[in-house]
Amino acid sequence: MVLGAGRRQSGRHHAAFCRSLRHQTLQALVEALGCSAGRPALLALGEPGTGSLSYAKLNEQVASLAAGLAARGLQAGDPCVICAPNCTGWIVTCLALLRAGAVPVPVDSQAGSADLHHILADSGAVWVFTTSQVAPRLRLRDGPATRVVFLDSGDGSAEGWLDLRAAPTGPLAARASPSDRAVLFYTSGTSGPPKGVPLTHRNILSNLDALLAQNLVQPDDRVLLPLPLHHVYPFVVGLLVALASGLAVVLPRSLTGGHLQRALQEGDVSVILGVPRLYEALTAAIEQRFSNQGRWAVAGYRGVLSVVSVLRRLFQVELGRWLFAGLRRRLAPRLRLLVSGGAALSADLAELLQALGWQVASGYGLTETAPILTWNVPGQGRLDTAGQPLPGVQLAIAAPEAGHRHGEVLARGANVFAGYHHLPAQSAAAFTADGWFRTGDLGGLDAAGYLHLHGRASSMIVLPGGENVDPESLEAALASCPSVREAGVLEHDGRLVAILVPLADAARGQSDDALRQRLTDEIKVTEQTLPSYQRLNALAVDRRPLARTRLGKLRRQQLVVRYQDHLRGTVVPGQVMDPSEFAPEDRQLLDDPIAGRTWDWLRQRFPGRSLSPDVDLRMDLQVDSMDWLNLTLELREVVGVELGAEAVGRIQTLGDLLRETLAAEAAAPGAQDVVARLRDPEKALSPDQRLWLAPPSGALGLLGIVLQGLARVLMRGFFRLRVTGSENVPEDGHYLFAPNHLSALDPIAVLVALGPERLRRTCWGGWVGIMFDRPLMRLVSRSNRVLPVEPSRGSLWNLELAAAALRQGNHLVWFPEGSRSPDGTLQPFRAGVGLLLQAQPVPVIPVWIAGTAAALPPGKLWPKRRQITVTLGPPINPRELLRDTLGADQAVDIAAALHHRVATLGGVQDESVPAQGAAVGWEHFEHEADIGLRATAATREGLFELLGEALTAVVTEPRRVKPEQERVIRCAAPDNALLIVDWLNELIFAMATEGLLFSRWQVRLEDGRLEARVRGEMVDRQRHQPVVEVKGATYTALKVEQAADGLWHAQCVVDV
Amino acid sequence: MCDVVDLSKLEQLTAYQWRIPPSGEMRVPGVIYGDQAQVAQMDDKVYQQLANVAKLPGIVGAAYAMPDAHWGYGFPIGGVAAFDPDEGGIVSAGGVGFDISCGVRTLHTGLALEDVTARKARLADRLQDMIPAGLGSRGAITLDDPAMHDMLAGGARWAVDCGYGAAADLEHIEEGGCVAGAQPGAVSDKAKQRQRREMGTLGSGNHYLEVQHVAAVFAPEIAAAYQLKEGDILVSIHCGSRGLGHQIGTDYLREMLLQAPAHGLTLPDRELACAPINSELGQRYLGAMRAGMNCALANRQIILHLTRGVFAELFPAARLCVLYDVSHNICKVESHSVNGGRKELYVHRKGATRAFGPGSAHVPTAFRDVGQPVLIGGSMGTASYILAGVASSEALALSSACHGAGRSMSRNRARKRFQGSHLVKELGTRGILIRSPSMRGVAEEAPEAYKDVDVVVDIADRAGLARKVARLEPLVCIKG
Repeated sequence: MVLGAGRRQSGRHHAAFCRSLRHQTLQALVEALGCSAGRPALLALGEPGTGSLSYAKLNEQVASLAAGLAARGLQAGDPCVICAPNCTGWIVTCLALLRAGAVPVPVDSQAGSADLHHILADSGAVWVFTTSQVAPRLRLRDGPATRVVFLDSGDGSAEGWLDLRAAPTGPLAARASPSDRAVLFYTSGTSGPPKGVPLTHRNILSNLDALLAQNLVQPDDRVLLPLPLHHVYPFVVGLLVALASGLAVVLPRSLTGGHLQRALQEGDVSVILGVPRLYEALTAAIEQRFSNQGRWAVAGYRGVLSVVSVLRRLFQVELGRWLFAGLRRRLAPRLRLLVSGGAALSADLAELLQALGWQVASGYGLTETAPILTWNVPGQGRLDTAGQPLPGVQLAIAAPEAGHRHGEVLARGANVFAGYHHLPAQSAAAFTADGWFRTGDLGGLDAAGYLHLHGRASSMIVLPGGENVDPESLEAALASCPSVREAGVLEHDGRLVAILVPLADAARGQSDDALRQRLTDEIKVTEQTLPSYQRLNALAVDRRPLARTRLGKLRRQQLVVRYQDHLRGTVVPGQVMDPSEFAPEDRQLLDDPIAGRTWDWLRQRFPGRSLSPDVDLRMDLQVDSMDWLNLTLELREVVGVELGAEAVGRIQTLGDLLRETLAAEAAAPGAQDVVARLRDPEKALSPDQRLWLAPPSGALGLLGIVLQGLARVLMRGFFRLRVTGSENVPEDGHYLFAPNHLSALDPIAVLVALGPERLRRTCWGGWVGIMFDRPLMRLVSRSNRVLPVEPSRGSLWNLELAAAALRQGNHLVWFPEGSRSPDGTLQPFRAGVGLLLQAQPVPVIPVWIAGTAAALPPGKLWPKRRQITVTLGPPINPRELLRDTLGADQAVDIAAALHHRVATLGGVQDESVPAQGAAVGWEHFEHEADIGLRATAATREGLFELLGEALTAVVTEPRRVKPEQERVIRCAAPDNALLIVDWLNELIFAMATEGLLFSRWQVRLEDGRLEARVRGEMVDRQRHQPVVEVKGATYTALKVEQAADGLWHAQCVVDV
Repeated sequence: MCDVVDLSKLEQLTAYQWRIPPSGEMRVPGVIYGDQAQVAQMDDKVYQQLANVAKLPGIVGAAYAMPDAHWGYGFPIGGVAAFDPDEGGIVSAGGVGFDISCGVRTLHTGLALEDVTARKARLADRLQDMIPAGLGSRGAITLDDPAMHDMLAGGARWAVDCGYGAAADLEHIEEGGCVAGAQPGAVSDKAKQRQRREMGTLGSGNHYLEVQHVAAVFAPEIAAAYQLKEGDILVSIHCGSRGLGHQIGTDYLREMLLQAPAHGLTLPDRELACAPINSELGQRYLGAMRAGMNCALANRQIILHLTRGVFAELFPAARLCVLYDVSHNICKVESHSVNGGRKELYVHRKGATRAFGPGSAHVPTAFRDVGQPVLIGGSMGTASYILAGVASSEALALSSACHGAGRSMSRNRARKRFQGSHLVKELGTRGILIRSPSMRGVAEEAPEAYKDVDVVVDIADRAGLARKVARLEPLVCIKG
């Protein structure tokens, strides 16, 4: 099966393939970008303000930025650091620099500070392109000595790249010659500080042309680039191959599963440029899908896979293409080719990916060789080898050095660099006397010309006895021990030793000695399968992950340092870890803005503590279940993500917390899932959480009884509590009591109203802010079975506790408003009560409390003697509440219907029911195509406020809108009528651009000027069921007047 | 519900043509198309609005109301009026409406009914997944300032340049997909801000994307020219310029209202805010409105592209190509005969479709012998029509026809009367799959809340405004 033979659709784009062959320099290649004009060039997912670019547009941006930079003094040949995560600005800037003849210096934005400073100094860059997040670590100040340009929106301390663009008017930039330096890469450096690797135009283009001649890509491909572009492999094989062929490049928002999958689908990706680790995750995710369907599904999947695999190898039958077509389509419909680089792709993984029906291409190379040396053409190569030399590349194997079994791989060709930047000694050492580049890898060529690699020469350990140990294969063997997460092998004093990092699970709660013993035991078992010279002489146990490069290679020099620390006993467990020391997957995790923000928050939350993704929240940070509540609340506040009880249950380490946060952000649960969980709530509760439900025993029970007695004395004696409607509550059965909420006295009044008999099996929803913030209050809460509730942003387990209380046959007192009413009016009910009733449909007793607000208003400490009354209404069957539901969100509707019942019990006007025909209120009037708003109010301000509510009501029920966010709206007009139109149009604008809905309006008017504080929340399509968007307010039937009785009337038609 | 027109105030010219004789400040008569039953039920406000339009400076011929005109703001919906710049003629933001260049694009799919029946539900689901619809939906595209500028200047052509669709799509779009004279600079930052994330979204209200089949062909020779035959599967996209157009309308209505005295205009009603064509404001509005039209054309082009993706995924044999794309809320410069000579007029059509007859240079060559396709959208669950422009329409109504059926019931009443989930079920039993994010929205768009489109189209045909070619029935409807 020859790649590209069957699917080329037309010759139209073939020209694009050959185009780069004609280019002598990257500068020329960039100048020709516009030739692909209308084709899409770039899709950056999750990037605000840019989205997608066509080649025409990309070309224009690149040209204008190049012109702008030149106008600001950028010279041909200037080295320019780009230190930022992948983004549109990164690519445009890099191309603009090439176009201007300057030399981009791509730098890992997550490199440690020491490395960053070394690169800045070593490269001699004056221009630094970075982001406001990375800039503080670079510690640069924009000025004549260093010109800082932000690739994101910046922090105001320097210009952004968008500002630098200028019309390309001047003469063309100085011509680069093929032998000029094109890009200065820095090797991630497994040892020592990063080394500058200058690559010329010829180096890069010779490799690029050879790759293009392999028909790696097809004219309609779209290429996913998940790897950071400071690395030469994604830069050349991904970005440049795509741009030279006129293909679209897709940048995912982050490397987490959800974002990758979105990128695969939304980006319509057909080629991925990844590393083996990424493909491991991909296959693991596929297997996970089957495991969700049960054990047999997994077994079936594995069975089919092995059959497919055998058939493939024996008869070249591509059964997987048919069998797994559906699976591939769900994952990424157009995905056909997986390119693997950066590290060796295991033959097993390659086989698995092919059995699933994808094509796999892999290669081997180094930064110094720009980068590809050998290559496995998809469908033809031998994936158990590193492949055959790419055309134009010559390979040779040096004679093995003393003690080594394999010789070093040597390379020659137009793609091989000339020497390191500013490092004459190391440059000289990198080449043999007759000019071959020493790759530092050991290997051999077989008869068919395939390269087999056998480890790094530099890392190959030669023991005093002359035995060769390839640390990588030994490390892989050690890592297969059940409790070992990773291992680093090194030589110390002529002996073979290792640092072992235990799995977090295995290390938890174990003393260092016990852990060490356990690992030693396990290793003994494994060592029996190894040659005796490969057995370890000593080992150190370290709970921190080993330092690795971005592509996952161990930093062996760090290994030596750390081992010496162990010997000296200077490993201090409390050291704060720099994210650059994290394991690569954790570091990739932090690339995501949400995870990054979460991490920053954690560092503030636990100051002075050693934090790493492996830190255990319970064991290391002493987070108990009560703290969890606070943590989830803060998390929601800080990063806007809510973690459910299940997620909390899964979290052990900070790394878990980051992953769960991202997962929760990617998939907020639908209302139906919530109800399903509330139906069987105990399942999700931890034993600790279930404790809240148990009746208090012993001293706690006694305390409860004493407190209840005190409450009775206080209520009956001091406040002369009057309870009516007790006869409405039958003796048997259990109920949800739904009172209005005015004062902190309310629960005490209800407690007395319920009477001692019912209290024995009554649970309460209690606000954590009061009932749980101090130890004494917690005691009080426990003694009276108060369940913790955080109404404004409660995590799901609050509701699960309440649902469990109902399910176990208890009464539940639940204040559906969620907080005390600021002005005595009944506030909208939160959806929680609706969810509870949907899941646990028990009868509801509406309760009306009066007098407590006067007796103890919010904010007062000492009560006044006022009479308090509690009225209990007859039970309401929850199905009655469901009768007049509007749409999908039953919970909101139930809450709203209950609101009406409680309001009726209190004999108050339910303010969310428009006062049709009443003196004051709003209504919609009929208009053939659009909607008329009409309002009557006692004041002009009230009139504007009511029109605001009528406007919301066009879109959704105003009572469903939570007043969470505040906006200030200002407008001015020559007359009242125009001011009404302006007011409504400003609201419409805020609704349209911010996706907000409003439910509170506070209007101030002065001389034709309006200033309003409006509060609302983001549209939630599930909950609000928004029906139409309002286009604008019109002047049709527009009226505003003050009638003789002093009331204000207004009407306005809005176009929908 | 409302006061209806007093028939005694009208002169009946033919069975389907009624005249409001000029009186008071009316400069020209009003002309209403409809049968007696329809006109007798027409809201008196339509009559008043039409009479008011006839009072505007520079109006030529008459103020026209298409069959089923109804009460709008400014102009009635279904209103057509042309103004002569040399006679002090005006351009009116209310005569175009908020949803600038709202229109219908109909696509051939190359599929037949039997090809899709079995996979209809999957098609509906995928379309719903891929095409952002309804309030609170956001497109995948975010425009920065340069891209916004290019989009407003380039229209559907910009979209094609960005990779949404192919150049061939542009041939069957009015103005070749890009209207000249657009001035992105005349569009306020607020309007651009409203559009930043709305490219490729359907919107809400009566907007939709429908998969339809040709249920009946009335004029086989024209249908052949349009490449239609019974059982063909078509897709119709009904939407407009989204937030951008809405804000342009908002901005310019206000400015025209405030500047009217400076322009020496006494407005019969505030809602008729307008500006002389030959004024700075008038020209600026035209530039902004044309940018709005480009936005609508780009928007429909992106939705076409998304739709194409879904069809390619489910029906490899499908070939989606544009039958036609026509706007029904727009002001255009057209040459019409006035007092025996030809004159460049500014023709406002609000809720009315341009309907050029055979031979017009504005009609793509493929249709030049049979007349321009006139795309009439139905409401949710009801039929749509394809008509052809006829020569007689030029004299009757400046080559215009109706654009669909209006509401017979207000949103409030519809919401109280119908339940969204029931409607979805009921239409489902009739083989029509509805996908909508809002059940309340479905209730407000209930088929019975609209007038009968069959009747409206019949009258347009009989009145000589356009000729019935084919009736389309829905299979799948994605509602905003």
